[in-house]
Amino acid sequence: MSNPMLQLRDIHKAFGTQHVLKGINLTVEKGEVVVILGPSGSGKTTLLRTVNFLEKADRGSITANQFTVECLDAKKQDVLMLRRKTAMVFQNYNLFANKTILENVMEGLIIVKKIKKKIAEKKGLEVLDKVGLADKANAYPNQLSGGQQQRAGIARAILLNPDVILFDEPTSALDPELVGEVLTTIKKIAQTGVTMVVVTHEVSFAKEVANRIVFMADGNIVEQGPPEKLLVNPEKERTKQFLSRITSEKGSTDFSN
Amino acid sequence: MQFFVDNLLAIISVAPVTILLAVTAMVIGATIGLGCAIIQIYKLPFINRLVSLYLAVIRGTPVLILMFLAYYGIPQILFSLAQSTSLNISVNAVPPIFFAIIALSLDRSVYLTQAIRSAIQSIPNGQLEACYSVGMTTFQAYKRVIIPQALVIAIPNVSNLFLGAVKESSLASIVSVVEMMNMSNIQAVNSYRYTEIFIIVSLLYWGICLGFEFIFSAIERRLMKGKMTV
Ligand SMILES: Nc1ncnc2c1ncn2[C@@H]1O[C@H](COP(=O)(O)OP(=O)(O)OP(=O)(O)O)[C@@H](O)[C@H]1O
Ligand SMILES: [Mg+2]
Repeated sequence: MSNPMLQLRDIHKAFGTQHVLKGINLTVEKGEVVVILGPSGSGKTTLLRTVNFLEKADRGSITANQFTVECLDAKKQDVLMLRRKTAMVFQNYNLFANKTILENVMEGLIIVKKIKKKIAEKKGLEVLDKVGLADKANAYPNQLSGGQQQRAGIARAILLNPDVILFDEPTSALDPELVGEVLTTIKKIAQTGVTMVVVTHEVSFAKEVANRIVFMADGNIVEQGPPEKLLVNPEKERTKQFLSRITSEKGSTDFSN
Repeated sequence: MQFFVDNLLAIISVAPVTILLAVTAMVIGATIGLGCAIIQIYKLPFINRLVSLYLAVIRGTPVLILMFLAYYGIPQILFSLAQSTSLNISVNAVPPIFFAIIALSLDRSVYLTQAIRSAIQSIPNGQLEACYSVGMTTFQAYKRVIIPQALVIAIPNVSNLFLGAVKESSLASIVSVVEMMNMSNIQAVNSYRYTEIFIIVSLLYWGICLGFEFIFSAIERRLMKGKMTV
């Protein structure tokens, strides 16, 4: 019955002497949208980065759609395989600066999945249409607004049809008036049944799309549960503190970083 | 006037040799430079030290001496190689331009290593991470995303280094390569009109450099069009 798409077991990570992840266990079911909340420096970004080996965990294992990698003795091929099962949407988009928007989204299909250019192009245009960028297909990233770039970043991720999409604060680099369009796009994708893990400071967004909210602090998962429970009636003191601080800040957009 | 035209034409007739020297030195130098740059960036153990040593040695050696070393040294090595292996290698069959190209390539490789390395390092790390996140290998990432961006950034430096190669190629004259400088010498010795001839050849070098500067900035403008973020 349970059908986990992503399973993290005992993930540890230290930078020098600083222990940033202290044994994270997390299971994400197929089609589930998990939002990770937590104060700055709690290790959210690091956690996402260890999942596709942009950062190598010091201990623990990662399973993506039944493919398990022991972090410590991961072979090059394992890392590649894991990365192909996941996709990442970056805080600052990281679109390929030397490629057009269409080329950006097609790149993975052509180079990694070895799909013919003609077909990739067709799929690329379709996905750009889905995120409302059909008219920008031939523009370069720096000719786009932040919101448009991030929607292209999302298109690049979903076109690869990954088992899990990881979002690291996808809206925190955006001007406030551009946040909405990106969140709407993510919501739309969430409704298609894609498994997602989203790090964000947008609590109202979390409330709306999340099946489950995970609260992290100091490299640990403090508490998790459905949004109506965790946001309204959290059990742990640490969570209450965090939520009251966030809601006392005007609005829900956090521009720290 | 006739004198001017005659000499100009004579020197121009070997301009292709000068350009050939500069272009091949740059191409070979860039190939070596790319390899060295990547070894340095990834700090590959041991071989990284060798690269540093190589760069230090070549950087500290005048091109003129590299030229002599290549011209006299390589034949000697080949000769003793031929003797010890009793292979039939004939050094005399090798044209002198071969040695000149080696010397110039080594010299350019040092500065191209620097230019390429700093260009690659100026590409934000997020570009490489984005490549990884879509599942590319490091090689694919460099080939499709990092190097193309780095080249655009490196163009102004590469352009300067190319002009340097054009001028340095004149040193090939001392190992009997008949390029523009050597031809000027021949003409000057024949006519005794050194000053005029060297003014003519310097005008030619100047013209060639100007032409290539123009080409490089055109390439840069073309590639920059709409592309780079920073
Ligand atoms: N490459 C690194 N080298 C050294 N320390 C790092 C590195 N990356 C992250 N850290 C440290 O690890 C800790 C956790 O960082 P991380 O970016 O995961 O936090 P976060 O929860 O994403 O915070 P934020 O909400 O501000 O994005 C921080 O103290 C940070 O300084
Ligand atoms: Mg973060």
